[in-house]
Amino acid sequence: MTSTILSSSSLHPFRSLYRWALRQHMGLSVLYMILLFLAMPGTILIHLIQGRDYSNYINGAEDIFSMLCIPLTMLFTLLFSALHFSYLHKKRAIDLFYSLPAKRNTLLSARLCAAATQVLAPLLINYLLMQLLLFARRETLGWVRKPWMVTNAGSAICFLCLAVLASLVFSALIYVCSGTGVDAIVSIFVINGIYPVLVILLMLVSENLLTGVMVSYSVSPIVYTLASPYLSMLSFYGVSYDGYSNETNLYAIWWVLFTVALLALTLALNRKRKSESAETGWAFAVPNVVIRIAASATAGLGLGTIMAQAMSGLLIQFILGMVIGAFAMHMILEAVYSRGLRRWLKSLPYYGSTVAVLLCFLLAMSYGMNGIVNRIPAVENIEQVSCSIQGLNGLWDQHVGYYRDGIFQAPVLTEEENIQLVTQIQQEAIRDSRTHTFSTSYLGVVELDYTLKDGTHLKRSYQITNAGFPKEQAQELLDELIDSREFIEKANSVFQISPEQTGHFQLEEMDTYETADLLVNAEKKEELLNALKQDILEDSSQKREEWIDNGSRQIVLSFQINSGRRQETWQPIIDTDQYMIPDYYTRTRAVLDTLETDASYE
Amino acid sequence: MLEIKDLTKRFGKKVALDHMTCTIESGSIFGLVGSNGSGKSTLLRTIAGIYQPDGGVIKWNGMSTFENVSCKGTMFFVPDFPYFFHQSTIYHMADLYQNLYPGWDPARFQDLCRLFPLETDLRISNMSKGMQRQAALILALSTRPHLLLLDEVFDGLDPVVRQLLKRLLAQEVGERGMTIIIASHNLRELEDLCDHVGLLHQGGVVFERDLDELKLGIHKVQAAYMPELPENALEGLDVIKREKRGSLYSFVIRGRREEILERLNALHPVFIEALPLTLEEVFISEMEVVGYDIDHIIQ
Repeated sequence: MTSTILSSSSLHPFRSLYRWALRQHMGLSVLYMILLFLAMPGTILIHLIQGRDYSNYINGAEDIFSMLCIPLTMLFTLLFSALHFSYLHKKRAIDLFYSLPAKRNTLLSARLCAAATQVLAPLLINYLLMQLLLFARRETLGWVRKPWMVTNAGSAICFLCLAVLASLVFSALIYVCSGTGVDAIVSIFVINGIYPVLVILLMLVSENLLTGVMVSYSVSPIVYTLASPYLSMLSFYGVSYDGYSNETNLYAIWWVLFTVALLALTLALNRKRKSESAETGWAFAVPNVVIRIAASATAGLGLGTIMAQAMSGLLIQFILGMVIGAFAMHMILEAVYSRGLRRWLKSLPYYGSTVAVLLCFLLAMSYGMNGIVNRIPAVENIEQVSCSIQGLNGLWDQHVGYYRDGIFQAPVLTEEENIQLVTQIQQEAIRDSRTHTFSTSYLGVVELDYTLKDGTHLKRSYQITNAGFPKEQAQELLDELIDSREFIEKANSVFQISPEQTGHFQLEEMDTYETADLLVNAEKKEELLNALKQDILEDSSQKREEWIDNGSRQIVLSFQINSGRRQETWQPIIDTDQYMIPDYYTRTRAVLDTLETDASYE
Repeated sequence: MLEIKDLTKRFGKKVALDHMTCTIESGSIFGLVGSNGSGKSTLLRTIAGIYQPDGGVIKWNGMSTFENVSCKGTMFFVPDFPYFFHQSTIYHMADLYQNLYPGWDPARFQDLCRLFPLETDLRISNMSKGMQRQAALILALSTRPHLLLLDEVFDGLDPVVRQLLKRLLAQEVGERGMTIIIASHNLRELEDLCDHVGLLHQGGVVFERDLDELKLGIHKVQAAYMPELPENALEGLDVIKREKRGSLYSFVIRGRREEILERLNALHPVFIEALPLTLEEVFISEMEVVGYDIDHIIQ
């Protein structure tokens, strides 16, 4: 009796191979399912059975998810890729599979789909289990949490699934292009690890070469993983935690396109791939070349930056480090990919290409972008400017802004006189900063965000260093700005709050660290805050400097501010403001003298 | 029918198959012999669709074999080192084949499992080389192929299993008209089984002939001559090999037996005898003609 299976349907070999591939490595799939269960719904179930309040666990569920589920998923995606695609690198396996009555792309597609099923099915099953458990006990959860867990966690899973698919297709491409398992695994790790580092270094170097231009601020964090599908699993979670946004949608579209494009490329190359590539060198050399150049460039930029920052920050030191770093990485990769250094001389064109590309990049950044670096908007075109000055005065770094819910609130200046002053400061900053290309160490930063009248923004950032900015002229301009009334009123929180928002007043002696709580009623609050405002208005940078030099006793007044409630959780936002009270703050000191306290403060 | 026309296959700079042309009729058992590196395994893999030709065509029953699902469903390739899945038994392997090969016969599979002295529950990776080869043959024959490609199939099989295999193959050819191509260095076994033989050397076909015709067309003659024969005594005869020990001459000559004996008898030998050549002797003789012989190798 012969089989009655007809082979005329094009789906038949695919279906047979898919089902067969699914049955392979079933044990590993079950293990993955169990580990995911323990990470997510399993822990909730344990809390449930024990009758414990697991709302705290749910509050931290997103941390558990990112700590356990994502690394597990990354690991098993890599494992299943290796298990399903390694046949491409074994001559004997090729003999078997390529002699089967199935097209090569059918075979590869079936294995790809099987790998996707083996990774995604446990993930989705565990996610659904988790949702069922949460829904079953929804009465124990606050209404605020429920929508969050349904929408944001749901979007997190969708993005994670997309990242898994992208990673699998990416792995398939690398396996098709390479000839051995070692080359494939090394390449996957290198590409996924090197790309984000390369992006960061390019931005870092650009920011050093393009004085003031905030390259990294202009670039979405999503860019850091655009070519690292495995690492994108990490950033997907962070993106989806904040809910839907245009950026999230763009990210999703990118990964869909990336996956589709890579899949088409993989199938096209697989069709052309020579069977005899197994256990030899690369079937297609392009990834090898790209990896070598990218990795060498990364090492070159990295060592160049380290050397420049460790020495005196000159460009020539950077170039020297760049050349050495690129060469070292090139030799390491040559040793790995060629299993030795016998052909290192022949590999030098790769290194030469890398150095040439980097030098072109340096030239472009150093000399081709002067228009951008020197751009200072005309005062009449500026609507307002946010001026964040941090690290200028060390411990005295107050009266330049304040924190609300962890975010620094820089003063936003609208008076023309102050805007003019800011543009002058920027001009000095450009001049002072260009004396050293790479900052060796920096104490702080001056960040300017111009809002122009046409609605556009121009952002610049200048590091405060010992050797560079600010020099004397710039320092004078900064002092003048900080001492202006508008700046004082917008940089000090005491001018932005009402007495009703304040509470828990405390005094601290900086020398002895003794603290004392102050008993302040509503009337005294208003009196104290008004006195503080007056003293601050009469204060100046010069007075503060002289007072520090005198080495007088330092007393700090702190109080809590109720800034409202968080939208997602409705929890109150409590901030603490601190003010140094020098002895020439006579009004403030007079009010403090009238307050009851646990310890004398004098 | 398998038609190979102008087939070329290169591995980098090395030409493994060099404009090879050959025709193998359906229902025949074709023995593929040749020196090491002559291209036997490469040819089999190219026919099986594993390698893509760099030139020329291969057609099985009028269809190109490369990436042709229906064509490959009617053929099966057993390589010199068969591949089995990790920790699999023969049943696991059958699980893959039964859903892909339209000709898979589960009853035949069970029969063959009983016929071969094989522990079918054992993991294949734990079996000896010979047992693994038996497992590969069981799976191959269970797919009921129309074209069976075997590479060094006798390697590792004991004499009893070899006999069994030859009988099974002959039975399949007789009953179903299966075509078999066997590449092997074991010329003794091929001599028993094949009806056609092709000799490859350095990627090309030296000859391709019916086995009986081959053996009838080349003869080994031993004769004693007193006095010695002059150098040009055998002019006009296609002498492949000539050896002399004292007055005893040993010739390997292509041609008809009667013609050869007539010419040699005309030279008045003291003694003359025509001996049958084995396939191995034919192989060695033909290889000597193309310069592949032990004297050249040792030099």
